[in-house]
Amino acid sequence: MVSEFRALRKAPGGSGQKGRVNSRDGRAAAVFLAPWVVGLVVITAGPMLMSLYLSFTDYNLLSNANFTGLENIQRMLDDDRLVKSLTVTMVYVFVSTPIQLAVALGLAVVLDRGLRGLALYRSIFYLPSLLGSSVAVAILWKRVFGVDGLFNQFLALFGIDGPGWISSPSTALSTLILLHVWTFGAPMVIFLAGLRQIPREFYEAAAVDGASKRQQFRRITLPLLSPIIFFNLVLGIIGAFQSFTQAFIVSDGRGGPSDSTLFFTLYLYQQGFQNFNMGYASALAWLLLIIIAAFTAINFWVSKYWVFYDN
Amino acid sequence: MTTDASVAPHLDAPPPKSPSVYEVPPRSLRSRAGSVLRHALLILAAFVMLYPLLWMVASSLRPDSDIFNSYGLFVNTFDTTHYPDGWNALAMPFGSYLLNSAIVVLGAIVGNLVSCSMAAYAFARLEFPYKRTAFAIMLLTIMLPVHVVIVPQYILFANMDLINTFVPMILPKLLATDAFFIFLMVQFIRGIPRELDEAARIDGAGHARIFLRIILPLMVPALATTTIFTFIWTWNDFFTQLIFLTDPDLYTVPVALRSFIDAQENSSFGALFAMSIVSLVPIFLVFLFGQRYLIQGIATTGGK
Amino acid sequence: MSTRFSRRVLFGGAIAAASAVVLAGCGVGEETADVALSNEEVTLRFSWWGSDSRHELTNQLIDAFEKENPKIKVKGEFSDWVGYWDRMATTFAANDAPDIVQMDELYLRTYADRNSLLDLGKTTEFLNTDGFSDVSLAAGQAGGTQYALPIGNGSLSVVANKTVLDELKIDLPDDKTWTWDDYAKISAEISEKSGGKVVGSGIVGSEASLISIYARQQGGSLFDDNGKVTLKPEQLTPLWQMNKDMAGKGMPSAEATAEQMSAPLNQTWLVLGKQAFNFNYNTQITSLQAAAPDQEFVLLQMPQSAGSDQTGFYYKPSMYWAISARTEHPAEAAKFLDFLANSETAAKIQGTDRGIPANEDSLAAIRPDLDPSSELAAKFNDQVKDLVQDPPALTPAGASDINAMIQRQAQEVLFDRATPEEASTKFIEELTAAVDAAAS
Repeated sequence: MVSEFRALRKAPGGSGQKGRVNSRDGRAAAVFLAPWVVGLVVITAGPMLMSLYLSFTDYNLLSNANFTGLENIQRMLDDDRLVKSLTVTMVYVFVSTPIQLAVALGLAVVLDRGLRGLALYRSIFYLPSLLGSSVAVAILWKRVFGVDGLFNQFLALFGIDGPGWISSPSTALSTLILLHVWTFGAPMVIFLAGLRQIPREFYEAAAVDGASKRQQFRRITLPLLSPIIFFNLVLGIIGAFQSFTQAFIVSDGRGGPSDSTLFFTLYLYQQGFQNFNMGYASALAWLLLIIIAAFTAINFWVSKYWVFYDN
Repeated sequence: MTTDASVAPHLDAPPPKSPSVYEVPPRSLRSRAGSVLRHALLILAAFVMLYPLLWMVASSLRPDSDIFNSYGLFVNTFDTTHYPDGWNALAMPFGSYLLNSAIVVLGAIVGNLVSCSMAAYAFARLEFPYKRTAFAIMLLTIMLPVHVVIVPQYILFANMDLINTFVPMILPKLLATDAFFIFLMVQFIRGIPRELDEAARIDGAGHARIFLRIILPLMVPALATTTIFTFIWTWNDFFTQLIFLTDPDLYTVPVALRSFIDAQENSSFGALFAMSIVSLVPIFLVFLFGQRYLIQGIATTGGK
Repeated sequence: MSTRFSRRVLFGGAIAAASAVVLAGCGVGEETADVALSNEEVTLRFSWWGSDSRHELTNQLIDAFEKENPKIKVKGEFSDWVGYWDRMATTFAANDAPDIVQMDELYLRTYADRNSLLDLGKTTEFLNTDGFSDVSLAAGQAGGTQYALPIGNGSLSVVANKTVLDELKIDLPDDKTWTWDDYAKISAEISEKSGGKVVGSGIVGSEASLISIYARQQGGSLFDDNGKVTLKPEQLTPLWQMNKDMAGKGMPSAEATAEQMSAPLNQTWLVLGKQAFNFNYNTQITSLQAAAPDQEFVLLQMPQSAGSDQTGFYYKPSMYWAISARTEHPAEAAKFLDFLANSETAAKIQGTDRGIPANEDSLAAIRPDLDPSSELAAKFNDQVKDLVQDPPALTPAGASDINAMIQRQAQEVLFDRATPEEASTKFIEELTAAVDAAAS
């Protein structure tokens, strides 16, 4: 049944099915892309190129930048905290993103239709994401996972003496991963929107054919939702690599205890704003860009084998 | 949002209160039990999810001395003074920070909706040279952390004399710098059958017409998603607003909220919680009303 | 818009935008404007960090100044501590800094060494410093130049929770003679006597000023006047050894200690009545007392090192006022600063919100009206007057983050990931690298 709407395998941005460019398209593209191009040139590109230049300097924010060649790159090579922060970030990205997406997708399917009070459930599950990065959440999280926190009080009911989850180097990162998963509402909303694009008739037809719910999910929902899953995956990974605020507010900008929550962007921020090594921070930022770009490229490449576009 | 909510039937809208709907059609015991189980699990999950938030609400109603000694939700001594205190604690009444945030958010939403949908249409439906490169560049622009571009951006806007205006928060959105949403919309447009465009094209419609009449109405869920996300991200965006708005009259909610906290001093946590809740109300309402647009789609507009 | 997005158009535009940015950034090093009052109405930007109560008091200060000086308008800008420094860095980098800023010792040399702060010696016509002692003034000097004016003076102390001690029937120690060993012994005794309900002490050596005092007692120092790191590992190791020995016995467990490091004031064990001693500036007793009205706090002197004749004590400015080097109105800014630092009106509005006034006349003016805990703090300053020594060298550029570095290594010890020797060696290495990188 999938074959009916099996899509052309195509990477986004690939050339069209006609394989040639018609000039009407080109003119229209110029108009449609005009705001983006102006934004790119006027607002985005300047600061980006500036930071690229600064990554080869000793810029300290307060004095003029001196070109130092590859010194910053050399410095990266024996920077222990850089390695530490990369490790922390990788663990965070590759543990929290899949879990968050799975939870979001699961609940989106449950909350899509066929149950009373859906609007309310959706809003409730989304609420934590609304709070996002507010200071109040940081205080809350410390309360919940502190030595005498709510979670340990709960464990105490079962006679378990829990550690100080947020203040112990071996568990602090997991509380941040949990915090990230807790805000699964954002990808859930996108999944919900995507689910609505799947014509209902497909499910009805499948039901007539005697397909079980599980089969329907695997044969209809997953393939037809794959562009959206792909989107959430790509952006989820980019976003997780750049995670900053949550670690920042929970650890007071320190990334502690013992650097166990030192996210890459947090380290970069510490270098740039707290130590005034903006040149080095820029270099770190471009390293991050290269890493994210590499993972995104892999993602796009792999997507050819599992993402279906209906055109 | 231009679509009239009343036009499309909402699968999700509260059921009409006629007995026929409440009379559950005869179903097997098993599926009924399944439904009860689902609700029970959902309610349990919702409670766990919400507990910290409810604790915050309870805390905003407790005297400061009780806040950190209580884990439960039961409030012994009701103390509503945190609300008026928090409202008036800073240089201006908190309402003016809400208003400032609202202006920034509104501008950002309009900007993102217009500019990102246009760019997305081009990437999803048009053929032009260097499309792959442009798409890659677009994605690259969201991969650089804000902390290393904020200083050049500040210099840029300072040169245009735009510090302490809302322009640095709004103009970039009007110019589609939020590539996240372009990509989101591209993915949605790709889900819209091309036959619809082709049919319109045969009828002599140009790109502007196809975009406005066919694509936009069909991507309402994506537009709603964009609206909700832009709202929340802008509403919560502390860093850029802190940097570009230094005049306290122009402070927005997140900047104002942080002014309640000073690690060296007795921070007014009760007031902080109270104002956090006050500032949560608008986003919650936006979501509650906005989410119904999420669930419109091809299925209900009868496409295909 | 051309149909084709040629690379030349794209990159040409981007490079133009980028170079605009580069050029703007090169305003660094402009000459300071003449120090003379303007005939026109002038608007000054004035920036500080703090919490809501300080914002209110400071706005009152501004109103009072504007009333006295109708031709000068002051625009206040405030934020929390972290946001404040982010904003400072950005606005100074973009040549768009506020005219008058609240400054901290950790950042003073970072800004002063990079020519970002005005030499206050150029503004003596408008700024009187007669109310300040030479020791106070010295704390705002870098390389002999007065870059900042101390606002308040404080000294590190041991805050003791007398209520807790009384309950345990333990006498207040004799702080005139006590040593670090005594301190550790009493702390352990408190934990033991209370059956673990109360601990004796909080973490030792998690903050630069305590380490500085301890090093001075050993005849060393944290930094020298040239901004070089001079601390030796053996001048720090014993402190961290104490943490290791006392965690869970006399001090909170390692995890609870880590948690306390970032706890808001009203959640600290001292305030909650679960801890007897903590290291705080004497001036913080006001906030502590306010957070725990049913506990009684008293101030004790810092322990001394057995066999050393150095107390290591010093007055540390709670914070400073400074003027941006690129202000367009140095004279007006100095006038405002003069008001903040010397005027009796200002002193009375401000009270002890920014510390026990460093200006002795201001202190005298508000002394009769001090609340009991502020009076305790003021008394403590008097009490240690003969014991304090010259202030240590200012924190050099590159070391503004020193407390984070200290806490990181202190935690390595607490969590048994490093011995005290390893951690203190590592800390000194890191600190030296950061300072050297900033100096080159």
